[in-house]
Amino acid sequence: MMRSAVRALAGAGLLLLLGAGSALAADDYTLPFSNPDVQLSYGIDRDPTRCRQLDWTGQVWNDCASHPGRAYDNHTGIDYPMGLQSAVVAARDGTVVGLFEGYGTEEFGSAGNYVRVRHADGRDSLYYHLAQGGVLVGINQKVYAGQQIARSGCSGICYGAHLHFELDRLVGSVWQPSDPMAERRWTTWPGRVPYLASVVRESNSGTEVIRRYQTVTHWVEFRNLGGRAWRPDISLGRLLLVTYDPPLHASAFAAADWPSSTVATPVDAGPIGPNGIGRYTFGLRGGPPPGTYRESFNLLANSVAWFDHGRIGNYYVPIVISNFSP
Amino acid sequence: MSHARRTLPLLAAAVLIMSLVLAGAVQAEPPPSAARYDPAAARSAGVAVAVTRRRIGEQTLIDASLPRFGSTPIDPVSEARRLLATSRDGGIVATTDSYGGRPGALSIATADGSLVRSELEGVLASAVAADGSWAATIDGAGRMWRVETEGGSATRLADGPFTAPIAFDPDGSLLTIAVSSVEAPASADLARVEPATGRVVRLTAGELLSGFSLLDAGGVAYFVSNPDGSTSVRSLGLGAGGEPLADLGAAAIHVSTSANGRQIAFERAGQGVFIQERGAGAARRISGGAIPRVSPDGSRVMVLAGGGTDILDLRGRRIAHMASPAVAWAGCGAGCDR
Ligand SMILES: [Zn+2]
Repeated sequence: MMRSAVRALAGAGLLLLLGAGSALAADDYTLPFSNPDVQLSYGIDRDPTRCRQLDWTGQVWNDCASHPGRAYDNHTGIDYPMGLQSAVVAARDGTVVGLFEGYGTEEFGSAGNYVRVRHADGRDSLYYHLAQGGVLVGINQKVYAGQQIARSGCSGICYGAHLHFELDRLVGSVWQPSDPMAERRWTTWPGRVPYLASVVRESNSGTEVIRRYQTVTHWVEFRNLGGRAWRPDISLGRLLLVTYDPPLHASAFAAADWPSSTVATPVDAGPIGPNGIGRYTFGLRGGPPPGTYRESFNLLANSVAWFDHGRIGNYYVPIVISNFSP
Repeated sequence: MSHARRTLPLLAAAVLIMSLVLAGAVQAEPPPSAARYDPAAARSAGVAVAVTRRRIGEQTLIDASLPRFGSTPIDPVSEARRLLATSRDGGIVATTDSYGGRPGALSIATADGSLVRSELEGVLASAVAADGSWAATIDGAGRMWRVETEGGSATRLADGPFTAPIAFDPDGSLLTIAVSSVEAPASADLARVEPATGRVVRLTAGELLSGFSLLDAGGVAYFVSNPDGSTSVRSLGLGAGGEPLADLGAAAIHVSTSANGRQIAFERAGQGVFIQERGAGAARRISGGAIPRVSPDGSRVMVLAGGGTDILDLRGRRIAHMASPAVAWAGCGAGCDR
């Protein structure tokens, strides 16, 4: 609680720094990890001159020192400290065009393990210092925003475990780093992870009492706290409410409207943008004998990216099945 | 009215003072401090580097005993890499306090036991000039320095950023790898740097180099990380540029070659040490261990193993073992001691 208040204050300060009238976010990239507690340590230095730094807020530093939260001299990317083996996710839909994975998880050296993803806007996102065996994608593989593509490490020239995220674009024939923070390519400042949600409200206060062999309609609403839009159709950003604990188990409560025994429903309507509320409506059938049950669900994006189940309160529906009386 | 007249000169003065402060800040980068130690002083200060020369067949080895700094446990890979370079005759060695440590000093030790230290912002690579008078060194931020063997003073040669390795060409110019960023080398080209002027000429373009070695015939073998994660060896200066020498397959690291480029040793992460002989079929695994380095004549390979160094023949049979991981083939440029 304390922590989120501090974060909100920090966010307000940053907005002030920017000026309320600054350009709207492009909203075409999200943060390259899924843990919303990860914080920026150093951003890009947009000034190529030695010992002169232009950080993502627009502040100039006429020194060669490191400025936590802002930049260090000639830094080409954005550093996010995170524990070894943390999930690294694609910041946008794209295709894997490069990777290397020969180095030890914490092996210091002149190279390191990385993944390079090409996007539709012609930019490449790069993910550096990955763990040994931490590259989870292959060359030419299509990846979705928010899909885990790697595990973090500290390989290469790395002082303390972190992800170095870089967004390069071609200038002439040379790839040059661009600054997604200064360009406001994230949805919100200082950024959102791709997929995150919280429960808003639920039909029947959550608990369903079902007569055996009957079906009731249940709905639940989640707020989109992530950086990507939710969509119901078969396209990028498709959001499904799926059985969980264990993931994708066949449900004893699946009703006739379920797309399969593991998928309760896609989001009812879309797109649901960041901060929007998405409703999921689905049937529950009283198949099992009378008794008290619970069925767990989680949100799944693009059939690959699970939401943090803890962040939606380990969401489940308490179900009471009563005796059948015709 | 008079108020406005008084304010303007004040403003001008404030702007002048501010710009002086800013100019001062730009230049507020002192040169690295240096210290010189005679043999006794080096020993009592705990910074002495002891070097033993050993013969293995026709080859000479430099076996270094490096001082320990701090209480961190010895990791053989990092220890091996602390021995950065030797002169051709092995009489001068360049070492660092901790490979990858920041800040970290460069030490240049001479055969009589005397030593100079230059306090750099970490050290990534070093090479000793043919006449032994200085060492070209890349610091942790990728900048290139000229460090004098006499006195240890350092002057900036080029801004870079560059990364390891670095080597002197027979003509006295420097070869190294110019990168887009030290931390994230999204591009990495072979580059020649003129010591007199600091002028940088890129010799490759659009390839991602992880290293190189100098060849006897005046050429360079360089190691390319391909987009698909495999590693290739190509040569430059032996006829057509970029001529392919070998494909090493997936995740090959720590590549080294013999002086004629015929024997290529490398490590495949987690799988041990492999040898690829040009024109002799596929690469074959010869042992476990890490960071293989082929001898200049191509007859032996040194490998980090058992906390020290194994000397193997090309079939992987062990010929010798040394307790120290800080061992190098004498007469090698950066190519065969990295
Ligand atoms: Zn970085």
